[in-house]
Amino acid sequence: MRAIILAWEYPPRIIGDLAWQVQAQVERLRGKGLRMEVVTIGDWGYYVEERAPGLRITWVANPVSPQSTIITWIMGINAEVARVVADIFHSEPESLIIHSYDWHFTPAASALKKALNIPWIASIYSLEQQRSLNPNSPLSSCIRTIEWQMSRECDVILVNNEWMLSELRRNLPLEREGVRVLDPSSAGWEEEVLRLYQSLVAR
Amino acid sequence: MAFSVVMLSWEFPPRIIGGLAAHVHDLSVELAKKGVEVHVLTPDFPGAPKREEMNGVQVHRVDSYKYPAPDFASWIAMMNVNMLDYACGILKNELQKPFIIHAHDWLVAQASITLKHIFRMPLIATIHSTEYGRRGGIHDDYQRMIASTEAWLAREAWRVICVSRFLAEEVNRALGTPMGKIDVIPNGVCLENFSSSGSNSELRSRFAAPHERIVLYVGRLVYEKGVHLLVEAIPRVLQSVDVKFVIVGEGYLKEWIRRRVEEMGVAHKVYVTGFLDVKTVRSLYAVSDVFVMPSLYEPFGIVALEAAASRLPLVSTCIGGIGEIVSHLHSCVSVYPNPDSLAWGITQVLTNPALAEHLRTNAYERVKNEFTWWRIAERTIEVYQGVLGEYAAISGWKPRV
Repeated sequence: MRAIILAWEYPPRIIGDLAWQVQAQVERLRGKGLRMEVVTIGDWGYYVEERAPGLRITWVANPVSPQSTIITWIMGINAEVARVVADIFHSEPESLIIHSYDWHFTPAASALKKALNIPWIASIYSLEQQRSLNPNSPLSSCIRTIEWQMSRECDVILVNNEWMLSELRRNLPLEREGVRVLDPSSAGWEEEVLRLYQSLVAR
Repeated sequence: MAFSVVMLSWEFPPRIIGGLAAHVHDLSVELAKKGVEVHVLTPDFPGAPKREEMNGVQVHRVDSYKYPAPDFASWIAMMNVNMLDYACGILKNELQKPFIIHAHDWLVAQASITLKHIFRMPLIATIHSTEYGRRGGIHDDYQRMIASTEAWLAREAWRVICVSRFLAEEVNRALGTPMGKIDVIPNGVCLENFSSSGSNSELRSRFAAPHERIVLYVGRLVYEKGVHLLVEAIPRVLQSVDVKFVIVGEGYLKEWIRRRVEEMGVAHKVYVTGFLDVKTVRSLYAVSDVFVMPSLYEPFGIVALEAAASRLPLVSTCIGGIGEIVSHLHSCVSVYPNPDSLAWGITQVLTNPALAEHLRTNAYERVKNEFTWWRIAERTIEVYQGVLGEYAAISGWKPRV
């Protein structure tokens, strides 16, 4: 089985703590024998890196430059992310799962799930409502709309703790099953995630 | 070879912003008449059904994104998110393979390119104009972003269709698209939608007294269309002919036009109608005496076809693609882009009935022979079939499922 990790930061592109969190989780899952495909943003253009056995990182760059807002910027990158994941799928479609982090690659993940039947797990670390000083601004409205799409379309939502789950329930129209609390700092996290991956791929 | 086509366009009737809506509609209908399964994906419009069959074409109206967005490009990006999400279901469940993804302009680039890669089906792009041409160059980062998106679409497309040789050269120069990748297929017109009967006297009387002639302008009220030159020409025309000027369309120059004709003391001779429905516009063509097209930038000029189909004599700057449709003193009066020259041309047509008849006959014949949608659809199918033939011959880039 291969897990395709979609994250907007991954070392050495470090914006906040998410890059380290994602890297640590990728390493723990790779330790369980999973082949890991990380698709992330690299400002140096399209580039494929075989960083370690079982870990391939594909860096994608924006096909359009310059950009007016983070919305136009991220949507161009989404098209590239979808292209890379589609290439992975069409070269070896068996036993794939998409695992995205936060809202950034939701349009790509949703399209790939609908078109190619690739199961999709979304890990949510924070919400626009929490990050933004003005969550009702036009920019934040766009991001919140994409977060709604993520919560609606993915197969399973993962959060790290009960507090984040309550935040989700407070801020998203979360009338669904398939929301799981899994603490990455706990022992056995990788076994739980692996079981989740397997159950979704087997569907 | 049986195939289907999915068209992506940000306008489609009744959502009409410019000439793109008519182009996509008429082309789709004609393709459907020739047996091609056509699906059109377009943003929704108040009162229009989410899904309908329109003259054999499957029309899907997608949520256009109705929350506030920071700017137009961000709204377009969000509209593309919705279009992509919807399209995945349609392409997966309803379209027979092989299919062509046919994108119209940069506004649907993001969704179209993503669909191409996910489904691994060929993408064809029609470029109707470029940001470089619309703005007379690229002057700021916002325009640079749009030009970059146009270049991205042209790069990703298997073939690029341009509506005129003028535009093909501009796309080559501004976007770096090789000429060998471009097909020139003009716009078309449905002759049967336009009549020259002139019998709609009730409509005519709404705009002009019996002794007055009608000068008609139809188009966006923006600088590139040169409508400001027409406004400045009005007093000069009125010196020798008794006419009413009917200016149809919307745009940021609308209030300026109203103010300017007041200042010049000719407001009683000018109607600035704003947006009119298609039926009224077609009737106006039929009851008018001359059509004016003072464009400063015009990659094609679909209204020149509509005027010709209505047997309405044309006065035009003949800039860009217009010169590929009509020619001076054969099928139009060609003028320089300034008020004096424009007034001269209008007066020539209105005071010389033999010239007017000569122009309307020649223009109609040319349009009938070269610019019918039947002919345009035939040429478009040739491009589709050429691409599908190449697609069938390649081995590496095919979908697994």
